[in-house]
Amino acid sequence: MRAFASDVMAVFDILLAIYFIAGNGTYTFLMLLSLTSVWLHRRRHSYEGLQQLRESPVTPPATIVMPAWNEQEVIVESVRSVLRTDYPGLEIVVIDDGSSDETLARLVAAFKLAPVSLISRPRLPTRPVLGLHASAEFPNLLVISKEKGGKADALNAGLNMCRTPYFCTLDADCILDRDALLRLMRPVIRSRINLVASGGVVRVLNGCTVVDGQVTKVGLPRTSLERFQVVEYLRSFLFGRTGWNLMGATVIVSGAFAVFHRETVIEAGGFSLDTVTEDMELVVRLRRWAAAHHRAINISFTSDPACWAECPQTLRMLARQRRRWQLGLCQTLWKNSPMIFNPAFGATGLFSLPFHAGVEGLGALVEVAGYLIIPLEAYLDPSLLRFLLPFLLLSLAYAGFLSVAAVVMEEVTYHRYSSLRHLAILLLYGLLENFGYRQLVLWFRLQGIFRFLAGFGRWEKVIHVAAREQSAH
Amino acid sequence: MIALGRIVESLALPVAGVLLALIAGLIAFALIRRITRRRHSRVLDELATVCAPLVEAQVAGPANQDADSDLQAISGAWKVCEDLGLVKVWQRRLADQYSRSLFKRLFSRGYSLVERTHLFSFVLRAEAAENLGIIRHQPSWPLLAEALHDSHLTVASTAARALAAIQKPDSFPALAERLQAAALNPAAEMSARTLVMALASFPSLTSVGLKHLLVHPHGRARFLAADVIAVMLRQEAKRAGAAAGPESSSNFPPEVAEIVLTRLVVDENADVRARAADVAGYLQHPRAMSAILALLTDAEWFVRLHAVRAIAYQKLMPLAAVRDRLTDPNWRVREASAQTLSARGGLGVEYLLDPFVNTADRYSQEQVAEQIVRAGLLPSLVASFGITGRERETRFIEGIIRLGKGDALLPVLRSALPLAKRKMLLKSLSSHPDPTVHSFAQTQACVDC
Repeated sequence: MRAFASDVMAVFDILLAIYFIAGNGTYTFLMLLSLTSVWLHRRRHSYEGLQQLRESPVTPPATIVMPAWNEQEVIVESVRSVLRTDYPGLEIVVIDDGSSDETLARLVAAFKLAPVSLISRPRLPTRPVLGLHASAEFPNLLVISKEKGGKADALNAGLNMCRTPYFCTLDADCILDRDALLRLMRPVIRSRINLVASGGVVRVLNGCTVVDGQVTKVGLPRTSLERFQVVEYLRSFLFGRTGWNLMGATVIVSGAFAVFHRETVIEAGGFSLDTVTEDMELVVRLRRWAAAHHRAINISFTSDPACWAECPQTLRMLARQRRRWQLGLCQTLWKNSPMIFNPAFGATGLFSLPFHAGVEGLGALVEVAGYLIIPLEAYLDPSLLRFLLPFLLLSLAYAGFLSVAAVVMEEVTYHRYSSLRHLAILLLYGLLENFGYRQLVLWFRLQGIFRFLAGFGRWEKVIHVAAREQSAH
Repeated sequence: MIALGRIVESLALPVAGVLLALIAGLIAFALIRRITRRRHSRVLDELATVCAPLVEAQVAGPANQDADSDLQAISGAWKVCEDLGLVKVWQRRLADQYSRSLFKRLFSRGYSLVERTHLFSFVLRAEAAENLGIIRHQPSWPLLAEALHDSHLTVASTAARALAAIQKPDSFPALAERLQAAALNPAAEMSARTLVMALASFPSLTSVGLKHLLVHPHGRARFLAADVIAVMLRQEAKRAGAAAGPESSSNFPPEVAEIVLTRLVVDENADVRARAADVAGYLQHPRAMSAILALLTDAEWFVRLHAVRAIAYQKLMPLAAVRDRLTDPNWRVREASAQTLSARGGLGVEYLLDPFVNTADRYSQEQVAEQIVRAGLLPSLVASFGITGRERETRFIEGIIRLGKGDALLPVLRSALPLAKRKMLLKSLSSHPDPTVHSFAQTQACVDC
C-alpha cells in the first residue's frame, strides 16, 4: 500500500514539475513579449495621436452597449461617465435586464427619460422587451427595459437596437477614461483585415476618486483583499493578454470593456446564453466561425485604453466572481475542445487554448493537489524535504517575481499610481500575494471546477456598492 | 524520480536565489526611478515656468494680427525646429541614414540605444515622420513620399498622415499610387482607411490625380478612388457650412465629374455605384440630378440607400422621388428616406406626413412615425392638432396612437403642451371612433383628473 502511494506521489511529482515548467515558462515568455509590446505601444503614442482619429471622416460610429441588473448604486454615475466619452458619432444603449431594484427608476429620473416607441428588428432572439426610453436632453442615449434573461441576453437585446457598425460592451459598474473608446478603436482603423474584437485594460476603481463620472485621482483601496486584486489585474492585463495578443492568439477580451464588429457577431450567433463568461465564449466562437467560413479576421488587445471597474470588497463577493470566471472558462474550453491542439487554428489552437486548458483551467487542481501531497510526501519520507523545500521556495520566488514584475511594468509604462507610497504598497502586495491570497483564490477556482463538473451553470451576481473614494455630479 | 529530485535539488536553490535577487533589483529600480523622475519633473516644471514665455514669443513670430494664428504658430515652430537642428535629425532618421557604421555607432556617444542597436528603429523613423508632419515641413515632402514605401507599415502610415498634413499637391500622386497598391493587395499594404483619410484631406481640385483609378479595371480601385472623392466633397461641404451643398463643388474638376456621372453611376460594381451616388450628391452638374434619380431605383438596396442620402445635399432635387422610397422593401432605405425628408424641413416634412395618413403600409407608417419622434418634430405637430387647415397633423396624431405608439406622445403631452390645449386634444380624441385612440385619450384624461 505504501509502495503504491509512493508510486502515485512520484507520478504526481512529475506532473507538478511539468505544470511548473509549462506554466512559469509560458508566463516568462509572455512577460518578455509584453514588455516589448507595451514599450513599443508607448512609443507609438508619440507618432499616433488621437486627434486625427477624432476628426477623421473614416472613423466608424460606435454604440456603447451597457447591460445592467440591480445596479442602482452605480448606474447613474456610469452612464454619466459614458456620456462624456470622447468619440465622434457615439450612441449609448443601456439595457435594464429586469432589475428588481431602482435601476430603471434612477435612470429615468437622472436623465429625464420618457417612453418612446421605436422600430425594433430583432435579429437575435431575446426575452421580451418591455419598453424603450429616450431623453430629449441626451439624444444619443436609449434605455431598453426587458424581462430578466441574463447578461448575454441583455447584450443581445442591445445589439438588436444597435445601428452602428461597431459596438462596445461595458459593464454597468465601470467608469471609462474619456478617450478610452478612441484608443480602443485605433486598432480597428489600423487593421488591414476585418478586426472583429478589440479589448482594453480593466483597472480597479476601488480607492480612486471619481468626479462627474470621471476618474480624477488614481488611488489604492483600503483593504488588503482589494489591493491584492489591483496587483492581480495588472499582471493579468499587462502580461497575459498583451503577450497573447502579440502572438495573435487572444482568446479573452474582457466583456467589461471591449469593442466588437456588429455584423460579424450577429452572423456568429450573438452572445451565447449557455456559458457564464459570454465574452470569452464569443471570442473563441468568433475564431471558430471565421475558420469555418474562411474569413480572415483579427482580434486585438490594447494595453492603454482603460476602463475602471469595481473589484469585490468582501470574500463572499470575490468567491462568487472567481467561481464564475473558472466555471465560464471550463464551459468555454469544453464547448470548444475541438480547437485545442488543432493546427487549423494557428497559435490559438496550438498554444493559447492548451495553456488556458492546462494551466488556467486544470492548474487549480494540480496546485491544490500539490498543497496536499507535498506535505504528505515529506511526512512519509522526511529525506525528500531536501528537494521539496527548495522547490517550494523556487515556486514562491517565481510567483513573487511575476507579481513584482507586473507592478514594475506598470511603473515604467503607464505609471497611473502617481504616489510613491502607492507604488511601495503595490510592490509589497506583489511580494505578499502568494502567501494566503493566492491559495484563497485557488480554493474558489477549485469550487468553480467542481461546479462545472456538477453541471452547475447559474450566474452568480457580484454586488457593487460604489467603492470609489468620493463622487460628485 | 530520483533524477528529477536531484535536478530540483541542484537547481532550485540557485534559481530561487537569482529570482530573489531579481525581485530586489526590480523593487530598487522602481523606487529609484520614481524618486529620480520626481526630481526631473520638478526641474522641468521650473524650466517651463522660465522658458515658456520666451518660446511662445518665438513661436508666435512677428506681430501679424491678420494672419491665421494656427499657420503662424506652425511656421514659427518650423523655423524653431530648423534653427535647433531638429529638422535635420528627423530627416536623417526618416531616411534611416546614420553617419557611422553599426560597429562604430554601438560605441559612440550621442546615440540612443535604439539608434545604436538599430533594433526597433522603425519607431524613430515613424516619430520623425510624425514630427515633420506636425510642423508641416514642406521641403521634406519628397522624403515623406519615399517613406510611403518603408519596409515597416507603421512608418509608411505615419508618412501618409504627415503628407496629408503638409498637403503639397506634388505628393498626391505618390499617395494615389499607394492607394492603388492597397486596392490590389489589401493584405500586404497599409490600411486603405489610412490612405483614404490622407488623400481626402487634399482639396477636391486635386482629385484629378485619381482619374486613372476611377477607370481602373479593378473594382476595388475604382471604389476607393470614388470613396476618397466623396469624403473630400463631404468635408468641403461641412467646412463651407450647412448652407453649402452642391455649390461647394464649383471648383471640382469637370473631367472627374464626367467620369463619375457617365461611367461610375452605371458601374458593374454596386459598391462603386453607391459611392458614385455619394459624389453626385455634392456635384453642381446638369447630369447629377438624373444620375441620382436613376440610382434611386437601382437593384441593390445599398445603392438606393446612398442615392437617398445624396439627395439630402441636392437642394434642387425633387423630393417626391424620395417620398416614393418610403415604401422601399428595405427598411434602411425607408429609414434614410424619412431622415432625408425630415432634414429638408418644410416640404420634406409634408412629404413625410402625406404617405403616413394616406398609405395602409404599416412598415412605411412606422418608419415615418419613428423619424418624426427622433427628429423632435412631435411637439410642433401636437401643437397643430385641431387647427383648421392642419388636418394632416391631426390625422398623424390619431394615426400614431392607432399604431400603438401613443407612448411617444406622453412626454409632449405632459411637458410641452399647456393644460387647456391638452384637455382639448384629449377631449377630441376621446370621441374618436377607433377604440385604441378612444381608450388612450380616456386613460390620459384620467391621469389629468
